[in-house]
Amino acid sequence: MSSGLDKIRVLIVDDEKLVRDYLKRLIGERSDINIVGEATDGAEAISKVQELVPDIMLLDIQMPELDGFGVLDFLDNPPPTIFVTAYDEYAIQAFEVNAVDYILKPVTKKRLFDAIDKAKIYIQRKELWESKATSILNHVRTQTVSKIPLNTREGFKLLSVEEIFWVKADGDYASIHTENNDFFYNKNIKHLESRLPSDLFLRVHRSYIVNLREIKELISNVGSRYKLKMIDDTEIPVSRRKARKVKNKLKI
Amino acid sequence: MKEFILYVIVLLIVALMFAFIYEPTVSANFQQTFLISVLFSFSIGFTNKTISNLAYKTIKKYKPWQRILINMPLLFIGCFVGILIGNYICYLIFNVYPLTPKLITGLTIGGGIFSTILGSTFLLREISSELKEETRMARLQASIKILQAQINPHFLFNSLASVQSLIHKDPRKAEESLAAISEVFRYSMRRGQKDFIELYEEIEFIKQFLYIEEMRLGSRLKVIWDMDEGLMNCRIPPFLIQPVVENAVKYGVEKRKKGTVKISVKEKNDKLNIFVSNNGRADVHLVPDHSLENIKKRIEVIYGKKGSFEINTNGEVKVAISIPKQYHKNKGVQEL
Repeated sequence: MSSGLDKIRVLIVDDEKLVRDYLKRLIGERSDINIVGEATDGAEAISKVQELVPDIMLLDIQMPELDGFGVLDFLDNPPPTIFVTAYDEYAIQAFEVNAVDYILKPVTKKRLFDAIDKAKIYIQRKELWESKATSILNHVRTQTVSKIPLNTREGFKLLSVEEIFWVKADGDYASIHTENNDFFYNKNIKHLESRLPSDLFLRVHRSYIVNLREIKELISNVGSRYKLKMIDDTEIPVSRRKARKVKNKLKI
Repeated sequence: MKEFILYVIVLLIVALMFAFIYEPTVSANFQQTFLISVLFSFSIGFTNKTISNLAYKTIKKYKPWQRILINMPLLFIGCFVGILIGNYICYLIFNVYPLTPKLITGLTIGGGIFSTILGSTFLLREISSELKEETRMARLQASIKILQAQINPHFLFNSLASVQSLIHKDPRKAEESLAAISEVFRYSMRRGQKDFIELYEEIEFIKQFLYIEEMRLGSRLKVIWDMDEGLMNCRIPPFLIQPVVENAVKYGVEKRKKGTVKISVKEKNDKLNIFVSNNGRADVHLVPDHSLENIKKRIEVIYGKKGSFEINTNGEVKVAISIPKQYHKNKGVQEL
C-alpha cells in the first residue's frame, strides 16, 4: 500500500451477497476507507488475507465449511476484526467476555462506523488485538469443525475430517495422514484434538489421534499393551491409560 | 380419598362373604364371626396395600406387565403377614387364636389368589392412569415445542438483513420479500394453534419460506418440487414438513457452498409419503437437530404406529415421513 494515501484497507467476508453489497454501500460513504476485497467463505477469506494483508477485516461468523472462528484460528497474524453475526448466543458471549466489538444483522450505519473507528485503534496496536483474538478462540475452542484448513505445497486447502486416518504429534506441530497424503499441521496435536469431533476421533496415545472408523484391528501385546492396526496397515501404540477407552469406543 | 373408600367397601364385601363360609374355632354368633372376618379382611388388605405402596416406587421403572408380575408374590406375602397379624389381634381380644395353622395355610392360598386378582386390578388402574398422564404430557410438550419452533431468530435476522440490502438495490423485490417474511410469521402464529391443516397451506408456507431463503442464498440454493396435486386437501399436522425443509437448507446448502433440496409428496397404499432430501453428503456434521426429533415425537403422539419418520443418510440425506391419508370430513384419526 502506498503510504501517500492513508486510507484504511478493509476486507469484507460474508457468504451472502446481499449483505456484502450492503456493507460495501455503507462503507463507500466513508472517505477514509478503501475496500480492497471481499470473500464469500472461510477458505477464500484466508487466501485473501494472505494475499492482500488488509488493515481491518469485517468477518461473518456463520459461513459454509469454515466459519469465522476457523478463519481467525488459522491465520498467524489476523488483522483487527469486526465480527458480524445475525444471531449466535455463543459467539456473542465470547465477544462480550473479551470486550471485542461485534455488530448484529441487520446492520445500522452508526454501529458499523463506530466499530470501524474502534478497530482503527488496533491497527496501531496490533499486539493488543492479537491477545484478544487468542482469548476469543480460547473461549470458543470447544467447537469442533468439519474441515481443517491446511497450508500445503500446492497452497491453502481445506481437508474434510473424515478423510483423516490418523495424526502423529511432532513437537509443536503435527502430521495428518490420509489415504494418499501426509499433511503438515502448523499447531500442536492438542489443538487439533480439540477441533476434531469426539465421536469420530480418539486420542489413543500422547502422540497419536486415530479415526475410529479407519481402525482395522486391535492387537493385544504381552503385558496388557495394545496396538491398533489402521486401514493403511500402520500400527499405532495405545497408551495404557487409554486402553479401556479404546475398547469402549470399539465396543469390545 | 375416592380410592380409599372404594378400597374399604371392597374389603367389607370380602369380609361379608368370608363370614358366611368361615366356621370359627370358638363358638360365636354371626355378628362376632363377621367382626372377626372384617378384622382379617382389613389386616390382609392394609398389609397388602402397605407392601404394594412401598414397592411401587422401586418397581416403577419396569414395564407394566413386569410390574404386575413382580407385585404378585408380594401380594401373597402380604396376605400371609396380614393373616398372622389378624390372628394375633383376635388373640388379644378373645384370648384365643381363631385360626389353626391348617386354616392359616388354606386361607393364605385362597386369600393370596384373591389378593393377587384384586391387587393386580388396582395396580392396573394405577398404571393406566400413569400412561394417560404421560401421553398428556407428551402432547403438551409437543405443542410447546411447536410454539418455540415458530420463532427462529436466525431466520428472522438473516432475512431482515437481506431485505435491508434490497431496499436500495431492488425496491420491488424488497417489498415482496417483506410480504413473504410477514406471511411466514403469520402462518407460524395462526396455524401453530391448530391440530390439523390442509396440505396446501403447509406447502404455501414452505414456498414463502423458500422465497426468502432463495433471496438470501441466491444461486446457491436449488429447489425441486415433485407434488401430487390431488393430495393438496389432505389434512396434516401444521409444521410437519417446513422444519424438515429448513433443516435441509441449513445443513445441505448453508453449511456448504451450494446444494439442491428436493421435496416430494406422493400417495401409496392410502398413506401420504413425504420425502425431503438434500444432495449433501451425510458427514458427521450433518446430524439432524432437535427440530427433526420433535417432528418424530409428534408423529408418534398423533398417529402411533400408523405414522413413521425416518432419516436415511446413505448417500444423500433423505427424510421420509409417512402418515395415513386423511381428509378433514372423515374422522379417520383415532382419539388418544
